[in-house]
Amino acid sequence: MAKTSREEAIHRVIGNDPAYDPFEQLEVLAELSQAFAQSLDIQVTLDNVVNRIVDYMGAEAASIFLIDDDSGRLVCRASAGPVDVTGFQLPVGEGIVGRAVSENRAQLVSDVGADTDFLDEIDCSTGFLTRSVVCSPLQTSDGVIGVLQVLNKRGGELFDERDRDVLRVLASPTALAINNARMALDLVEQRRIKKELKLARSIQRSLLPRRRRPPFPILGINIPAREVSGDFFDYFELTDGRIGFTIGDVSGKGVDASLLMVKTTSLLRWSGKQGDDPAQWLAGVNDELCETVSRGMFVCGLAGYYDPSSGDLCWANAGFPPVLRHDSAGEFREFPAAAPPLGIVPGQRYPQHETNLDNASLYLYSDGVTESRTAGGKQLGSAGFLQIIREGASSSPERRLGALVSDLRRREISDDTTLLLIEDRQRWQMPLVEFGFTSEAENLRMLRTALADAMESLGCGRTLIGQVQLVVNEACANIIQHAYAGDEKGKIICALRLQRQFLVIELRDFAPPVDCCNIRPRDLSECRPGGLGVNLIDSIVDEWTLENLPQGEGNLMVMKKRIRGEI
Amino acid sequence: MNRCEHSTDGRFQIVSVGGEVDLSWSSQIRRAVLDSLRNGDYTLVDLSAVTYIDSSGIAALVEGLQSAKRDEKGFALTSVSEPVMAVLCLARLDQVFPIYGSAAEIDAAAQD
Repeated sequence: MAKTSREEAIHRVIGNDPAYDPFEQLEVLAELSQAFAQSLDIQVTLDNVVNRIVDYMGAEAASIFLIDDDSGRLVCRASAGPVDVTGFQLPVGEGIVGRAVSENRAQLVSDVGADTDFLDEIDCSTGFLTRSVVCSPLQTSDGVIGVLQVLNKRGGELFDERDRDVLRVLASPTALAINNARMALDLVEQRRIKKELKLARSIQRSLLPRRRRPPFPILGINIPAREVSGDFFDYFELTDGRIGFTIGDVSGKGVDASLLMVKTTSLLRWSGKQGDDPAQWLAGVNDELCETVSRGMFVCGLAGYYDPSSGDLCWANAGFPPVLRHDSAGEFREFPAAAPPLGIVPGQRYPQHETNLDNASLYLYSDGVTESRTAGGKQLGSAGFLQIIREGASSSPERRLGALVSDLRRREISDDTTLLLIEDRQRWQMPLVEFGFTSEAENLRMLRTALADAMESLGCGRTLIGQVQLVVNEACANIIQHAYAGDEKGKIICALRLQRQFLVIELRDFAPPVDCCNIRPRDLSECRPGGLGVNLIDSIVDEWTLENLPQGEGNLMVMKKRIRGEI
Repeated sequence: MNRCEHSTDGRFQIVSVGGEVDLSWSSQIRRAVLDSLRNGDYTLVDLSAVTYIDSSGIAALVEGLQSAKRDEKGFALTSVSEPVMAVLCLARLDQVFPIYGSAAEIDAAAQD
């Protein structure tokens, strides 16, 4: 009868011995594979292997040696037989086991007495008498990971070539099972590390100060490039009313940077609360870091105080990117660092910088901001950052930071990214003028008069007053006619705010959501009545937006008109 | 004080508007203008006393102009006050309406 291809394959592996039953071999292979599949615990797997193989091979002892990643030595990880040799070590290349690794070939030694590589160390210490040895390297796609060894055939026989081939066959699923168990172990380890990093991240985030409501003048954001961050920011109030602030960027990223971040932020906070000048503040922290920081790590950092009563700011900068001041006229000024980073030179002095906030915004940012890249690889750079600030100048600080974060999240952030914004947020909260009225067309005249009176008292010129009257009137007429559709009991709130070089006009209604997309100017070349309101608004204001408020709480129209010293 | 009065001056029907024209009463002006166009061949809207006009007031005037064109009648704005002219210019309608200083100016232009 012709042999099946499976039989032929087995025949090729185990030789041509007519007394040998290839199906018995298959059975033990199947049993081993099944046993391996039942456990991903590497020690259970190894113990399983040696016990089954010692039985199957009719041997007195069996052992598995694996190459230790750290020492590079062969270490016995499991053994079966009269003597437990688990833990026994030898260098790769020594002994018959070592030879199997270095030659990457199965070894058959019928009589160890005739083999000069045989090490009798175990025999001498245990009294076990090794007569013959068969061993086979455990091969994986990553190379040899160890050796499967069998000692002394029971009944005094010597191992022969068939035994060697059988062991070779058994070594393959064994290597595979060990590899699987190792990968499972790696996976468990990775999960554990991930869990711990998540915990570290949450602890680290808890060290950042919580966001404070207006009028608190400082807002901060931190976007880590990895699980944990080397960047930090902090702020705290002193008893004299001043507010201390710090921001920093530890060299490197990842766990080592984050640990130094924790230390530095604690030192800066503790030291800053003493109320010393920023120059002394940084000098003290620098000396402390120089004493303890190792491995060439350092911290680019900045620390200072803001006095809300006077608007005065002073700070010292240790190698951190320049502080950016954006004033109410739209001008930018940079204050570059005047001293090297912390943790490098003991006794370093840190010059102070001073300015007055005076309706300006102060941006303190780590280089992760300007080094963020578009999908095309283009860096944001200082110019791009200034452009984002400029575009958001008429928005509240919260919205401006929100827009910046959205922009950064669209980019590739390769470094931790942190930003502090210092600004008089009170200014954004108190409207210059606010009126509430019902959605009756008869109220429009009262609204125009009230606007004119209020704006006159603010010193606005006639032209600006007339323009604001017209746009508010047009927008309110639309709310009355379209949003409330003739319901005269609807509420409308009109507020004027001053935001830098813009007069911001807000109109809030409580009507059902309007279809914002359908509100657009009409073609002026058509001569037809109606629909001119949006054209008039477009021709007067610099920009306007209309949004549906969440949970159907009405609509908000915001119009912004650039003013030039008119208020 | 808001007002919208009708009168005649020779061949002209005159609608004189005063005060602040907005959504609350611009429909009155619309009606007065359309009535006037039905009653005569040439309607003038005197805007000298208008201190404020919004898009609903402008819409009433545009509707008058369109109605006059359709019926081949005369329609013009006269004595347009500064606030009205500012809004007409914003909407580029200063190029659309016939605008004169007075009824006499229209007659004089017709004789030329």
